[in-house]
Amino acid sequence: MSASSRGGSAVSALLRNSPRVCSQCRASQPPYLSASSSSPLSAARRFYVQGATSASSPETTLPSSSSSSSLESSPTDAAAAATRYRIRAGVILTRPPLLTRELTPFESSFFLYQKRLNERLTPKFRPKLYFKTDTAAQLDWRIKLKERHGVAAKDIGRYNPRGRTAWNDELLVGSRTSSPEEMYDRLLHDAQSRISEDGEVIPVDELVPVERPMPRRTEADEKHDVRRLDRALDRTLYLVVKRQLPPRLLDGKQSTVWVFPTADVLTHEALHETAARALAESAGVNMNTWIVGRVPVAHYVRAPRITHKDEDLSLSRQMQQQNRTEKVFFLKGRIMAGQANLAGNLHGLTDFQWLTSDELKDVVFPDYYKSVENMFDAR
Amino acid sequence: MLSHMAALTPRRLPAPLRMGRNRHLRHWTIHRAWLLFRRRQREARESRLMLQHQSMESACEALRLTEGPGTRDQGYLYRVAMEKKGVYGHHGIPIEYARAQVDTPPRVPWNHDWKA
Repeated sequence: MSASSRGGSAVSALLRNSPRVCSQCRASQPPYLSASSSSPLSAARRFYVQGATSASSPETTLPSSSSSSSLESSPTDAAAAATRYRIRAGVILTRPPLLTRELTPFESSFFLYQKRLNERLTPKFRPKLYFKTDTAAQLDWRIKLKERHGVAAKDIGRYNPRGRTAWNDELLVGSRTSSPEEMYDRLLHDAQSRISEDGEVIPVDELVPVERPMPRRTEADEKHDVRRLDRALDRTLYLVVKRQLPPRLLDGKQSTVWVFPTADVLTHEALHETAARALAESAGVNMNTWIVGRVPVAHYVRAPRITHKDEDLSLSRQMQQQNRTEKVFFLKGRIMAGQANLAGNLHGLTDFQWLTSDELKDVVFPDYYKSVENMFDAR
Repeated sequence: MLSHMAALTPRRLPAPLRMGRNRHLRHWTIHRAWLLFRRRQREARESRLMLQHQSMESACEALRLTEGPGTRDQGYLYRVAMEKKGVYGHHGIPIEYARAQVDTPPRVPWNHDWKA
């Protein structure tokens, strides 16, 4: 948007003097504009959010005292005003994937195909440029080149890109030449030194193996230790804690529930401060975390529960008070180092888990999962 | 050195690929399959991003229509959440966030003993 049109819209918003203008703008508005306005906006303080509320969604909470007389005529106001939501904020603490994803079989075979095509199209490898004559490095190269049947590339398997059979670049069915594990093995085998320091050829059974890289599946993966953070390294992990259900929410089936760490929003707090506090109070401070932004990434609303059993009005009112509805806003957090520790937590938590999104589905309540599943990453 | 440079003259470069009809059809099929694969990946990523954005948007809308906490007016938390003060500042994003993904884990994949 250009500067001129931005100014134009601002001026037109001021001149229109509609309830969509925010309260601060209206307060700072020159007096001749407010004097000329016919609507009693200055008397009834309405915020810009309330104008949209009255039109769009009558079931949400409405301001009780500050609404103007035109708003009070709405029949749904009385019922809606009874629903007071308890506001909570939580943090969905994520451990980002540390590893790249696994290649699909199609990808790995496509990459091998491209490597073989590339070998056909590039100039020949010139060992004289890289190895001085009669050195250990040249002897080493010759031995390895012979083992690869004269192919300079280390990871394309047995394929001659320059001979008469250069067209024959297809693998046989069941061949593992294109799989990454096979390629690791070949590269590691190739990295072994074949010439000793004295210039002698090392026999095959005396070769010193090269240190292998660590496996992608760790010990915690094998044991399925869901409290460790070094599991499922190519997936995002989410921290969930086990909370005792308060008596007002007990339904007789289970007394504990798996949730994300949450806390009540205090009057002087913004959401991200509450989220940081909830995390520190629940899982300890020995985690290097970062709350991503200040905007909630998901929310969960516990709607008011209607009880048909209670015939006595006062009892039903009591139940309604007990089944207090709540809105939980989740912020996204990242953990860089450290581990959760529930010792001395303030929310009655007994256990914690680091779960992938698939495992979360089996652990948390279905509606709880449904409200946060859109914020999950693909892996 | 000159002889090495001479290896890159067009005369010594390999000839361009010549493929028979079936070979070329095979190559074309592989190429189309790769494009299809990339397209599916891209669309999955875009739809996931869209879901995440919608999740944020609906959460913000619910926040905007929320009254409280305490005696705060409607939309207070939304206005506070929209503030960008300090978000993009000098220490706004931690340096550990720049950790790149790798193919195999390090010897100690995770530092569990980090202390504040």
